[in-house]
Amino acid sequence: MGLTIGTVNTSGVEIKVVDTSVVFSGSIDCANPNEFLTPFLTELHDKIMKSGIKEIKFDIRKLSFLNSSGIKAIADWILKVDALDMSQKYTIVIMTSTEYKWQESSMSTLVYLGPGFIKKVSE
Amino acid sequence: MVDYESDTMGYLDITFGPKWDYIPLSRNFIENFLNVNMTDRDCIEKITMSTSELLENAVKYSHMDGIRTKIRKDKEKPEIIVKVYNSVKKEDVQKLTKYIDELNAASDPFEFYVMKIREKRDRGGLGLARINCEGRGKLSVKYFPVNDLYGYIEVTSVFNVNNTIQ
Repeated sequence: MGLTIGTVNTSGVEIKVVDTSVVFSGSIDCANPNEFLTPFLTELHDKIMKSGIKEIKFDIRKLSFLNSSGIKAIADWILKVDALDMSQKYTIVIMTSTEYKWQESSMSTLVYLGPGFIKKVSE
Repeated sequence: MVDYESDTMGYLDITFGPKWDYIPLSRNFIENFLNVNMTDRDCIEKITMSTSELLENAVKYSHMDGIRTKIRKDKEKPEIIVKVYNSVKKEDVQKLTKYIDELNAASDPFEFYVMKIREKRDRGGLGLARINCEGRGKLSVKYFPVNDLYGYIEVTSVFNVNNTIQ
Protein backbone atom coordinates (compact mmCIF):
# COMPACT_ATOMS: atom_id res chain seq x y z
CA MET A 1 0.00 0.00 0.00
CA GLY A 2 1.55 3.28 -1.13
CA LEU A 3 0.84 6.94 -0.72
CA THR A 4 -0.78 9.08 -3.39
CA ILE A 5 0.45 12.66 -3.24
CA GLY A 6 0.99 15.00 -6.19
CA THR A 7 4.53 15.85 -7.23
CA VAL A 8 5.83 19.25 -6.17
CA ASN A 9 7.94 20.99 -8.78
CA THR A 10 8.84 24.54 -7.85
CA SER A 11 11.72 26.92 -7.14
CA GLY A 12 14.41 24.53 -8.35
CA VAL A 13 13.27 21.43 -6.49
CA GLU A 14 11.17 18.40 -7.33
CA ILE A 15 9.56 16.34 -4.60
CA LYS A 16 7.76 13.19 -5.57
CA VAL A 17 6.24 10.35 -3.67
CA VAL A 18 6.88 6.85 -4.99
CA ASP A 19 5.12 4.14 -3.02
CA THR A 20 6.26 4.97 0.53
CA SER A 21 9.32 7.01 -0.45
CA VAL A 22 9.57 10.80 -0.64
CA VAL A 23 12.25 11.64 -3.20
CA PHE A 24 13.88 15.07 -3.46
CA SER A 25 15.99 16.36 -6.34
CA GLY A 26 17.42 19.82 -7.03
CA SER A 27 18.05 22.40 -4.33
CA ILE A 28 15.99 24.18 -1.70
CA ASP A 29 17.34 27.69 -1.45
CA CYS A 30 14.38 29.96 -2.08
CA ALA A 31 13.24 32.62 0.38
CA ASN A 32 10.17 30.82 1.72
CA PRO A 33 10.41 27.06 1.18
CA ASN A 34 7.79 26.59 3.90
CA GLU A 35 5.21 27.82 1.36
CA PHE A 36 5.45 24.48 -0.48
CA LEU A 37 7.16 22.24 2.09
CA THR A 38 4.69 22.77 4.92
CA PRO A 39 1.53 21.93 2.91
CA PHE A 40 3.32 18.99 1.29
CA LEU A 41 4.55 17.57 4.61
CA THR A 42 1.16 18.17 6.24
CA GLU A 43 -0.55 16.18 3.49
CA LEU A 44 2.14 13.48 3.77
CA HIS A 45 1.69 13.23 7.53
CA ASP A 46 -2.10 13.11 7.31
CA LYS A 47 -2.04 10.37 4.66
CA ILE A 48 0.51 8.31 6.58
CA MET A 49 -1.67 8.55 9.69
CA LYS A 50 -4.78 7.58 7.75
CA SER A 51 -3.16 4.66 5.93
CA GLY A 52 -1.45 3.20 8.96
CA ILE A 53 1.93 3.06 7.19
CA LYS A 54 4.64 2.55 9.79
CA GLU A 55 7.78 3.44 7.84
CA ILE A 56 8.59 5.91 5.09
CA LYS A 57 11.80 6.74 3.27
CA PHE A 58 12.86 10.37 3.04
CA ASP A 59 15.32 10.31 0.18
CA ILE A 60 17.46 13.45 -0.17
CA ARG A 61 20.36 11.83 -2.01
CA LYS A 62 19.83 14.10 -5.01
CA LEU A 63 19.21 17.26 -3.00
CA SER A 64 22.27 19.45 -3.53
CA PHE A 65 21.41 22.22 -1.08
CA LEU A 66 18.97 22.90 1.76
CA ASN A 67 18.77 26.27 3.48
CA SER A 68 17.88 26.86 7.13
CA SER A 69 14.28 27.79 6.27
CA GLY A 70 13.93 24.40 4.58
CA ILE A 71 15.44 22.67 7.60
CA LYS A 72 12.94 24.47 9.83
CA ALA A 73 9.98 23.27 7.71
CA ILE A 74 11.19 19.65 7.84
CA ALA A 75 11.95 19.94 11.57
CA ASP A 76 8.40 21.16 12.25
CA TRP A 77 7.07 17.97 10.63
CA ILE A 78 9.44 15.81 12.70
CA LEU A 79 8.38 17.59 15.89
CA LYS A 80 4.76 16.89 14.97
CA VAL A 81 5.55 13.17 14.72
CA ASP A 82 7.51 13.35 17.98
CA ALA A 83 4.43 14.73 19.73
CA LEU A 84 2.37 11.65 18.82
CA ASP A 85 1.77 8.74 21.18
CA MET A 86 4.29 5.97 20.73
CA SER A 87 1.66 3.70 19.14
CA GLN A 88 0.91 6.32 16.46
CA LYS A 89 4.48 7.21 15.57
CA TYR A 90 5.95 6.11 12.26
CA THR A 91 9.58 5.58 11.35
CA ILE A 92 11.32 8.03 9.02
CA VAL A 93 14.37 6.66 7.23
CA ILE A 94 16.43 9.56 5.89
CA MET A 95 18.54 8.48 2.94
CA THR A 96 21.62 10.65 2.41
CA SER A 97 24.45 10.68 -0.07
CA THR A 98 28.14 10.81 0.80
CA GLU A 99 28.52 13.04 -2.27
CA TYR A 100 26.99 15.94 -0.33
CA LYS A 101 28.86 16.38 2.94
CA TRP A 102 26.35 18.90 4.35
CA GLN A 103 23.73 16.16 4.48
CA GLU A 104 25.63 14.37 7.25
CA SER A 105 25.60 17.26 9.72
CA SER A 106 22.21 18.72 8.78
CA MET A 107 20.43 15.38 8.93
CA SER A 108 22.16 14.36 12.17
CA THR A 109 20.47 17.35 13.78
CA LEU A 110 17.09 16.19 12.49
CA VAL A 111 17.74 12.66 13.75
CA TYR A 112 18.44 14.19 17.17
CA LEU A 113 14.98 15.79 17.08
CA GLY A 114 13.29 12.43 16.62
CA PRO A 115 14.94 9.99 18.98
CA GLY A 116 13.87 6.45 18.26
CA PHE A 117 11.79 7.05 15.16
CA ILE A 118 14.28 8.59 12.70
CA LYS A 119 17.13 6.66 11.12
CA LYS A 120 19.77 7.96 8.75
CA VAL A 121 21.21 5.77 6.02
CA SER A 122 24.20 7.05 4.03
CA GLU A 123 25.07 5.72 0.59
CA MET B 1 40.48 51.47 -9.12
CA VAL B 2 40.30 47.92 -7.86
CA ASP B 3 39.98 47.63 -4.09
CA TYR B 4 42.97 45.32 -3.70
CA GLU B 5 43.20 42.99 -0.72
CA SER B 6 46.72 42.62 0.61
CA ASP B 7 47.99 39.96 3.02
CA THR B 8 45.99 37.19 1.48
CA MET B 9 46.72 33.96 -0.30
CA GLY B 10 43.81 34.68 -2.60
CA TYR B 11 40.46 36.46 -2.46
CA LEU B 12 37.18 36.88 -4.26
CA ASP B 13 34.99 39.98 -4.16
CA ILE B 14 31.40 39.85 -5.47
CA THR B 15 28.73 42.54 -5.43
CA PHE B 16 25.15 41.99 -6.56
CA GLY B 17 21.75 43.67 -6.32
CA PRO B 18 19.52 42.53 -3.48
CA LYS B 19 17.76 39.88 -5.48
CA TRP B 20 17.35 36.38 -4.11
CA ASP B 21 18.05 34.80 -7.52
CA TYR B 22 21.70 35.86 -7.34
CA ILE B 23 22.39 33.93 -4.12
CA PRO B 24 22.88 30.51 -5.82
CA LEU B 25 25.06 32.21 -8.43
CA SER B 26 27.25 33.78 -5.74
CA ARG B 27 27.32 30.49 -3.85
CA ASN B 28 28.69 28.74 -6.95
CA PHE B 29 31.44 31.37 -7.31
CA ILE B 30 32.35 30.95 -3.63
CA GLU B 31 32.41 27.16 -3.93
CA ASN B 32 34.66 27.35 -7.00
CA PHE B 33 37.00 29.74 -5.17
CA LEU B 34 37.24 27.28 -2.29
CA ASN B 35 37.83 24.37 -4.67
CA VAL B 36 40.87 26.22 -6.01
CA ASN B 37 42.21 26.79 -2.49
CA MET B 38 41.22 23.72 -0.50
CA THR B 39 40.95 19.96 -0.72
CA ASP B 40 38.73 19.25 2.29
CA ARG B 41 35.28 18.72 0.74
CA ASP B 42 33.52 18.80 4.11
CA CYS B 43 35.07 22.17 4.93
CA ILE B 44 34.27 23.58 1.47
CA GLU B 45 30.60 22.70 1.88
CA LYS B 46 30.47 24.14 5.43
CA ILE B 47 31.85 27.48 4.24
CA THR B 48 29.66 27.51 1.11
CA MET B 49 26.54 26.79 3.18
CA SER B 50 27.49 29.45 5.72
CA THR B 51 28.10 32.09 3.05
CA SER B 52 24.75 31.29 1.48
CA GLU B 53 23.02 31.76 4.86
CA LEU B 54 24.79 35.11 5.32
CA LEU B 55 23.69 36.21 1.85
CA GLU B 56 20.10 35.21 2.56
CA ASN B 57 20.13 37.43 5.65
CA ALA B 58 21.73 40.28 3.70
CA VAL B 59 19.06 40.14 0.99
CA LYS B 60 16.25 39.84 3.56
CA TYR B 61 17.35 42.79 5.65
CA SER B 62 19.09 45.04 3.11
CA HIS B 63 17.69 48.53 3.11
CA MET B 64 19.07 49.44 -0.31
CA ASP B 65 20.72 47.95 -3.38
CA GLY B 66 24.08 46.19 -3.28
CA ILE B 67 25.15 43.10 -1.34
CA ARG B 68 28.91 42.68 -1.21
CA THR B 69 30.69 39.43 -0.37
CA LYS B 70 34.42 39.18 0.22
CA ILE B 71 36.09 35.86 0.85
CA ARG B 72 39.79 35.48 1.44
CA LYS B 73 42.35 32.94 2.44
CA ASP B 74 44.59 34.31 5.17
CA LYS B 75 48.31 34.51 4.52
CA GLU B 76 49.45 33.84 8.09
CA LYS B 77 46.79 31.66 9.66
CA PRO B 78 44.90 28.60 8.36
CA GLU B 79 41.70 30.60 8.04
CA ILE B 80 39.11 31.46 5.45
CA ILE B 81 37.40 34.76 6.20
CA VAL B 82 34.00 35.61 4.74
CA LYS B 83 32.60 39.15 4.98
CA VAL B 84 29.14 40.13 3.79
CA TYR B 85 28.08 43.79 3.60
CA ASN B 86 24.63 45.25 3.25
CA SER B 87 22.84 48.48 4.03
CA VAL B 88 20.68 48.39 7.13
CA LYS B 89 18.42 50.49 9.31
CA LYS B 90 20.20 51.56 12.49
CA GLU B 91 17.34 50.20 14.60
CA ASP B 92 18.01 46.65 13.32
CA VAL B 93 21.71 46.64 14.17
CA GLN B 94 21.39 46.46 17.94
CA LYS B 95 19.18 43.38 17.71
CA LEU B 96 21.64 41.61 15.40
CA THR B 97 24.66 42.53 17.53
CA LYS B 98 22.91 41.27 20.65
CA TYR B 99 21.96 38.02 18.94
CA ILE B 100 25.51 37.35 17.68
CA ASP B 101 26.85 38.03 21.20
CA GLU B 102 24.32 35.53 22.51
CA LEU B 103 25.43 32.96 19.91
CA ASN B 104 29.10 33.40 20.76
CA ALA B 105 28.40 33.13 24.47
CA ALA B 106 26.47 29.87 24.09
CA SER B 107 28.34 27.07 25.81
CA ASP B 108 27.01 24.49 23.36
CA PRO B 109 26.40 25.68 19.76
CA PHE B 110 24.49 22.48 18.98
CA GLU B 111 22.03 22.95 21.86
CA PHE B 112 21.55 26.58 20.85
CA TYR B 113 20.85 25.57 17.24
CA VAL B 114 18.37 22.88 18.34
CA MET B 115 16.64 25.42 20.59
CA LYS B 116 16.22 27.74 17.56
CA ILE B 117 14.86 24.89 15.43
CA ARG B 118 12.34 24.02 18.14
CA GLU B 119 10.99 27.59 18.38
CA LYS B 120 7.29 27.58 17.58
CA ARG B 121 7.28 31.13 16.29
CA ASP B 122 10.02 31.99 13.79
CA ARG B 123 11.95 34.87 15.33
CA GLY B 124 14.78 34.72 12.78
CA GLY B 125 18.40 33.89 13.43
CA LEU B 126 18.26 30.20 12.54
CA GLY B 127 20.71 30.68 9.65
CA LEU B 128 23.29 32.31 11.94
CA ALA B 129 22.83 29.54 14.52
CA ARG B 130 23.41 27.02 11.73
CA ILE B 131 26.64 28.78 10.71
CA ASN B 132 27.79 28.71 14.34
CA CYS B 133 26.94 25.03 14.77
CA GLU B 134 27.15 23.15 11.46
CA GLY B 135 29.48 25.59 9.71
CA ARG B 136 31.74 26.12 12.74
CA GLY B 137 32.13 29.75 11.75
CA LYS B 138 33.03 32.39 14.32
CA LEU B 139 30.65 35.30 13.73
CA SER B 140 31.08 39.01 14.40
CA VAL B 141 29.41 42.19 13.20
CA LYS B 142 30.48 45.81 12.64
CA TYR B 143 28.28 48.80 11.88
CA PHE B 144 29.33 51.75 9.73
CA PRO B 145 26.82 54.62 10.06
CA VAL B 146 25.99 56.72 7.01
CA ASN B 147 23.55 59.02 8.81
CA ASP B 148 21.37 58.91 11.94
CA LEU B 149 18.98 56.39 10.42
CA TYR B 150 20.97 54.13 8.12
CA GLY B 151 24.36 52.58 7.64
CA TYR B 152 26.15 49.43 6.51
CA ILE B 153 26.89 46.27 8.38
CA GLU B 154 29.82 43.95 7.88
CA VAL B 155 29.04 40.44 9.09
CA THR B 156 32.19 38.34 9.34
CA SER B 157 32.55 34.62 9.69
CA VAL B 158 35.97 33.09 10.27
CA PHE B 159 36.60 29.41 9.53
CA ASN B 160 39.61 27.42 10.68
CA VAL B 161 40.67 25.22 7.80
CA ASN B 162 43.14 22.48 7.04
CA ASN B 163 44.41 20.99 3.84
CA THR B 164 44.60 24.26 1.94
CA ILE B 165 46.41 24.37 -1.38
CA GLN B 166 49.39 26.70 -1.28
